[in-house]
Formats: sequence, C-alpha cells, structure tokens
Amino acid sequence: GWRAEGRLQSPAQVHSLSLRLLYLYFHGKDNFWFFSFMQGSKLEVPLWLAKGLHDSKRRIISVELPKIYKEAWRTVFSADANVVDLHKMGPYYYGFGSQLLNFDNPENPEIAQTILQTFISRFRRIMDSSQNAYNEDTSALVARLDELERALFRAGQKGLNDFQCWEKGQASQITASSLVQNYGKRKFTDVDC
Amino acid sequence: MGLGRSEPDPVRQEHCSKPRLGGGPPVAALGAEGHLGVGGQKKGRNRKSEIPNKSQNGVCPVLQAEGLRQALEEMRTLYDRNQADVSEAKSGRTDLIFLIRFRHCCLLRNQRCILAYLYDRLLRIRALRWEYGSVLPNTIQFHMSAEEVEWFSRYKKSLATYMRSVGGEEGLDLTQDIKPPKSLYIEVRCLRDYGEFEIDDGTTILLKKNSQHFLPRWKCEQLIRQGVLEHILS
Repeated sequence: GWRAEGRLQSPAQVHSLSLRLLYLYFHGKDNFWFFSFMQGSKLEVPLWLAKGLHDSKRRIISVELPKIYKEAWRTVFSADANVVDLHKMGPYYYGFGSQLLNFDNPENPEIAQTILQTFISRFRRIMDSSQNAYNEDTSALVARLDELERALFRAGQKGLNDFQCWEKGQASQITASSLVQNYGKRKFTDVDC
Repeated sequence: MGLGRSEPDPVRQEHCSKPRLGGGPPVAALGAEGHLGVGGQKKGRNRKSEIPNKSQNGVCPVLQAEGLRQALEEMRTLYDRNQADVSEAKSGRTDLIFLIRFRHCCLLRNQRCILAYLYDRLLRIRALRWEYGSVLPNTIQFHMSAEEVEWFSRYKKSLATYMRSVGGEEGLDLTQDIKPPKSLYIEVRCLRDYGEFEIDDGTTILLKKNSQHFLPRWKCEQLIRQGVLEHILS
C-alpha cells in the first residue's frame, strides 16, 4: 500500500477556527495510513468525534451547523412547523439539535428556541392522531415524524390499544410471552438454567 | 451501569464531496480506510445498532461475539498506541496530543457502544424471567453467553429470595397474575400435545392438542405464557 506522511506544525497557538493538523492512523489490514489535514480543511466527522475534539479553549475544530438548523430553515420552522418532513430532515432532529448546542455556536439560543417551539407546535397533532387511529394503517401519519416523535406516537398508540383491550374485557386474558409469539410453533426443550 | 440508549447517530448528511472521516462502524479507525474521500457514503453507524436487537421485543438474539471481540481488540490497539504516544508527548512531542485525543474519543465511543449493547441484552434477559418463566428453552440459552446464563441464574435466585420474604409465610409469587384476574377458574385450549398435568386435588389431566379444559388460573398461567395453552374468554 502507499503511504502519505504529513507534518504537523506547532500546535501551541491556534488563532483561526479551523480543523488543525491531525495525525490519523487508519489501521488497514497490513498498512498504516497517515493522513494529515492542513489547517482550514473541512471534514465530515461523526457527532461523537466532534464532541470529543471540541474544546472551547483550544479551538481544535469549529463546527458548521447542518442547514436545517441554520437561519433560513429556522424561519421556515417558525412559520409552520407542521409542514416540515422531519424524518427526511433528521431523522433525529431534536436529539441531534440538542447535541449541537455543545459547540458554543453564537446562534445557540436561537437554535434552542427553534427546536423547542417546533416540538410545541407539532406535539398536539401527534398526540391527537395517535389517540384516534385505532386498528388502521398509520404509515401516513408517522411518515414525516422524527424518531422522538415516532416514539411518542407509539406510546400514544399503546395507550389506545391497551384501553380498547380493557373495554373489550380482554385485560384479564393471559397471553403467550413474546418469546413464544416470535418463535411460532417451534417446540422448546426446557432445560434448567 | 446507568446506560440507556447510545446517543443518536449523526444526522444524515447531504451528498457532498468533502472527505469523510471516522464515518464507519464503531471501530472508527477500522472502518475509515474505506470511507475517506468517498462522498455520499452512508453515515457512520454503530455496528452494534445494525444488529437487529430492536426487531424482536422480549427475544434474545444471538450474542455477536465476533463483533465484540473485534471492538475490544481495536480498543486494545488504540490504548496501547496511546500509552506509547503519551510518554513521547510528555517528553516534548506536543504534536501528538491531538492524535492521542482522537484515539481517546474512539476508545470512549467503542466503550459506550459495547456497554449499551450488553446492557440492552441484559434487560431482555431479565424480561424473559417475568414474561416466560424461570426455565428458559434451550434455543434461547444457546443465544446467550456463559456470563449471561450465569447472570440469569443469579437474578432468578435473587428474585426468589425476595418473593419469599414478602407476603407472609408462603411468600408471594410476583410473576403471577400480571394481568388482573377476573375468576379463579379459566377456560383453556391446548395448543400442542403436552402430556399429563396434575392439579391441586390430585387428579391428572391429559393435555392433548385441541382439548379444552376448565382449570384453576394459577396452574395454567405459566403454560399459557409458554404457548402450551391458550386462554379462552367466554
């Protein structure tokens, strides 16, 4: 394999807010790949890595906001949050947005406010639809929800189903464990643990 | 272990030509070689989360021993390299600090993923005691590691001790009557051939497939949960 070895400059003072030189070892099968990144280069990194490298004092990296959290989209959200397809935009709009606040962005207060207001405006519809859709195909209802909202929807559905079950007098019916339901009619040989 | 779910995966990035770093499975360094410079790569995903733990509630899928082993091995490699570099950094090579930090992030990430995975499995195994019973079928046991089987056995004992200690002399079986009972006796249908079954007054009943019986609720509960009997509502 080929090797590219880079040189790291003095890390002592960092003034510009950009990705500094990083040595990165990538462990291939037999190779060690060295990559260095010049100051100012842009990379996509997973959130956990950005969080780990972020340091308010030492300015190793600066994080650019994904477009959905920027000013333009925030305006859309404040106009009518219900029309936005958060599944396509996310699917972890709330969770990821909350994590974004870790990076000392000057727009943080606005971002936080937008996330909160978005939730508030959408919540009512989620609650209502989850409580009224009984025994039907809900895929259209959840299509544009982010994962947090979907979890809420499922909780609402569970409540609805449990209540209906109770109304039908089935609340006292003992049911097979999900283990059995999932494994079908396969016979088990019981052995003591 | 106070771990719940691992943190959300990074948001799906739009198609771009920027090089992507550490975007592979948990094992950030392992996966990265294939990902650097490849635009539009699928977002970094925890390998553990790709294992369909979520698809089967109450069921314990096979322990991904190989995945675990690889993750742990990578952690060892990262740790060893960091150890070496830390002493070098102390003796002047401050340029290594970022690299050390990067490796440390990867180590923590792997740790979180592994712990979340193992903890999730533990919760499922615990639920099996309540949902299914104190005796697990062979097939499920094969899915569990030796440590998990041991844990289940200790959990069972712990629960039994507790149940004996409440409710007076005989103790109280908390795993019974999970759903509020309406009557002492219930109608059940046999779903498969089970054999002879003795009830409290000494009589034996033959449980043959499709036979129906009127039996005390407390005797049937476990068999219903195990799928031998079916509770019929009148």
